[in-house]
Amino acid sequence: MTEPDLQTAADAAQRVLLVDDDPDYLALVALWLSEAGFVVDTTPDAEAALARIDIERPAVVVSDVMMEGYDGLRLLSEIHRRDPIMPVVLLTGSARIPDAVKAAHLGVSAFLTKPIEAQALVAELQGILRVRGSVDARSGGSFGAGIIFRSAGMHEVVERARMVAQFDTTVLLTGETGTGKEVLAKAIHEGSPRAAGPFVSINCGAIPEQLLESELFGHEKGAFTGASARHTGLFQAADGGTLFLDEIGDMPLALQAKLLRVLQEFEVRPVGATRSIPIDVRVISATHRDLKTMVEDEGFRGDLYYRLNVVPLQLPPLRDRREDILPLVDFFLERLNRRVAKQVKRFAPDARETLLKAGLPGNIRQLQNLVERCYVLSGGDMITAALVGEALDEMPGDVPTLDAAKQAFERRYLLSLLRTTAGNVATAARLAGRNRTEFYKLLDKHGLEPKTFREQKA
Amino acid sequence: MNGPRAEGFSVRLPAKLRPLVPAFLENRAKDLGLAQDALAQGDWDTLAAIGHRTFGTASSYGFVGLRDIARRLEHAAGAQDRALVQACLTAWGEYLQQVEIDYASPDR
Repeated sequence: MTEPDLQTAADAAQRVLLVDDDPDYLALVALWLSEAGFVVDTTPDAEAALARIDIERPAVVVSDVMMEGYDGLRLLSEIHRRDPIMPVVLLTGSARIPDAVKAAHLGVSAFLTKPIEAQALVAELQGILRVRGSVDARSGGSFGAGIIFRSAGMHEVVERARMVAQFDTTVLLTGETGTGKEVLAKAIHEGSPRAAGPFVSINCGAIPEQLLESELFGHEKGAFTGASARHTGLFQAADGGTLFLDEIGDMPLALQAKLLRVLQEFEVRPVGATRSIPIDVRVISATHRDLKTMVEDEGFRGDLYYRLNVVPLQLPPLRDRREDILPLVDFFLERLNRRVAKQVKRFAPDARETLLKAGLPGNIRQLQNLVERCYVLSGGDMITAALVGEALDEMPGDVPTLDAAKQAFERRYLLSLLRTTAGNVATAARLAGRNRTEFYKLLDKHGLEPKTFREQKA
Repeated sequence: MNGPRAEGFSVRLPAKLRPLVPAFLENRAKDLGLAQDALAQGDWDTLAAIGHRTFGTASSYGFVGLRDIARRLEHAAGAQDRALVQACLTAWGEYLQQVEIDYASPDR
């Protein structure tokens, strides 16, 4: 098991969402649980809790029963309507039998009476999460253990990658720069029967054409000026394993033809050699470019495109999987904490909120840089919201693609409509110039629940 | 009113609670103001709710004296006993003024 594997499992298994409208009790229990090693998110409001659950996917929710407006029993019911197996623990100041019966009927994991001792609560949660952990392990397995995600979008990609890993099929990974294509390629290699063989990676866009040819296929001594010794190419170096061709869209056309021949004939001929050498390599390629359009524009060979694109996997950008932001932040922070053992730092709750709300950056690498910057510049153990805000302000801006900008606008527009109409779908659809069916499809696409807006209004 | 004065003005708490305690005490002072308003209006439900909530939170923090006052307040409000509620609120105010906190050394 690799280090990231441990972190992923720990993070997913230990995240607790605390809900209580008493800020003092909330702060105290958050402290208890953080000290016990849980990753704790807090909110004083049950409706906000529902929104957080959709985004952060906690392993367990701990809520007070008596809260103004939206009580814990109603929250329990709504959580289980969305996710029937999400564990929910209720805390109550007055253990009334009807409430306990109702909670049991709604599937509460534990119904505990305040005041509760810290150790008792921690033990209760650890027991619940042990059960939950065994369920997750059955469904998840160990594939892609180093990939940090919680979003449904990434879950789908990783699941497809897991399936394809077992075969020698050629895979094409697409997605914006910094979305984790190489990490996924490595996971496919490690999940494949070739795992014991080498994983060799090359960025085709970073190397000049003549050098790239030599790097990939090798050359004989004296094959060209400066070739003072024989050089083994990466195809041969990856024999028995996987060759990852990153930024394949940047490969010059002349080399594309040579690559196609290798993929068709399973042999390479080094530059200057008279004989070909058989190779046993699985090829995974990746690009941030739209190869199909490049084929239409004759910037990329169509026959090579179809040879590489046997199984396409598209990685979503971070802005389309906001649920993954906090798990990634925790992962990067934990790694820094381990590296700098003298000082363990944490993001303050409002700093985490700021990160989550900050329409965040285009890619994971930027997020990693942001976490590192905050870590380095933070004077104390707690990284403040102000510091996060400052780092966000100074981040190099991303120009979104037209599609991304359209999606963002559509979501904002729908949110505004739902707020204006207090969740009345008929009115909202009429204002948008759509029929109800179309409008519901749009809401589904953006994961918006009109009911939430009706309740907010009431 | 007897009880809280004798046993609860001196409190020993874990050092890790130090950052949380000022806000806790400030909020209890606000609660006292709300409770006095509620008493003036005969709002027994609000008084009982304040007593109930404070009982749980004060217990968890380790403010035993305040916990006991809060429990008495909840019961007095339930019985709509104006004099006893007033006594509880007076004891509450005295507690906040006189409580002395001793923080135990940090574990590490």
